[in-house]
Amino acid sequence: MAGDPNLEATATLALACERGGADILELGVPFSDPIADGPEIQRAGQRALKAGTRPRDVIDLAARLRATTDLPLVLMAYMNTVLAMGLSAFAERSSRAGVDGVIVPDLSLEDSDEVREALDLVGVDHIQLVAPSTDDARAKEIGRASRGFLYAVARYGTTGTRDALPEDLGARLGILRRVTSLPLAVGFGVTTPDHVRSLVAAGADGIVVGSAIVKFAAEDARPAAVEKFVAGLASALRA
Amino acid sequence: MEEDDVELLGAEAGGHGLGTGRHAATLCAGRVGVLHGARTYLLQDEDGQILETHSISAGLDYPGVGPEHAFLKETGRAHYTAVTDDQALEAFQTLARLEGILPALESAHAVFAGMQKARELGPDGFVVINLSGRGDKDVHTVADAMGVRL
Repeated sequence: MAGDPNLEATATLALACERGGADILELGVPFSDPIADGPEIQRAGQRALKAGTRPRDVIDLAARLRATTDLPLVLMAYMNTVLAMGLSAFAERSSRAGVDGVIVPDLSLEDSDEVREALDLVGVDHIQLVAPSTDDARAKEIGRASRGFLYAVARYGTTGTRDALPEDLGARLGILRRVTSLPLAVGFGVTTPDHVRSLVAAGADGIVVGSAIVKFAAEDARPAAVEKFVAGLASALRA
Repeated sequence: MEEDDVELLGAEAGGHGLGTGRHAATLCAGRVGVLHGARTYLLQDEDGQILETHSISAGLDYPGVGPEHAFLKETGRAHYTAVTDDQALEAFQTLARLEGILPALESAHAVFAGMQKARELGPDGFVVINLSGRGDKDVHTVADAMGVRL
């Protein structure tokens, strides 16, 4: 979450994640009403907003990170913050900052044409999500509309650390694999190296970890500690 | 809705007054945005962060508004006015005294706007007020506001 507890800390954290083995960095744009997010990310967003973090600050942070890392940078922004900036302004500024992809979690496929076009125009990937409830035909359409990768949400409900992964993910990923050639990234609730191992075994190309890292860093923000935590998760990818 | 000679008037939650920032008058003071799956008028800041709202009536205390109202406003079919907490309370009491009906505090906003409209139109005018709910649920809120102990 960009700006939690301040932008400098986020920059430090991002680089610690990179050193720990992260392949892609996702920066959350804090929003007042993050309906897709559970308590950890909600609280992180509140802290970031309290610190005065504005959407333009997150794009500026991306530009600063771009100068220090080659890792792909993805912004997570709720639709209203994108609209308030102006869709083409948002797209342009993101592109200029070196952002590679954007996720808009509360934008459904049917309403996403303008966003996709604006981002296609500036060479930024609009990454779409499929939910556990998405049927195969719709998943195929979403796969066609998605750019960069397809984000498969592992569970019903919001983001947030959990003890166990849902059971049927292998089958789910098998179906998704058949309807898109994009890499499949799985997220929501991934908390431990064991989760990562299970997801790799189930066929995921990528694993998204949000709340677990946000929670860890909120309790222990030392770069070395965060790096070690991320390394634990990343090592499970190759195990 | 199709009868163009019928004017449609909506009453929004003016809370403590539009100038105070403590209200929920989305159509009067908001801007188009997307929240909770709908594209409609929202009370938001320049970054799109949703603002805290206030109304004495819980049902109106929300930073968005039904998209149908947004459409009616944009097409000019309906007009919207802000009614303050005090005005809603005044209307609540007036309707109770004159008609023996306790309106919901939400509906009391419409009662106030309707009474104002009736004054404007004079004795030959017709005003229909949609009394959308009853006020049994609001008795404690009104008592508190009036300093009455039940």
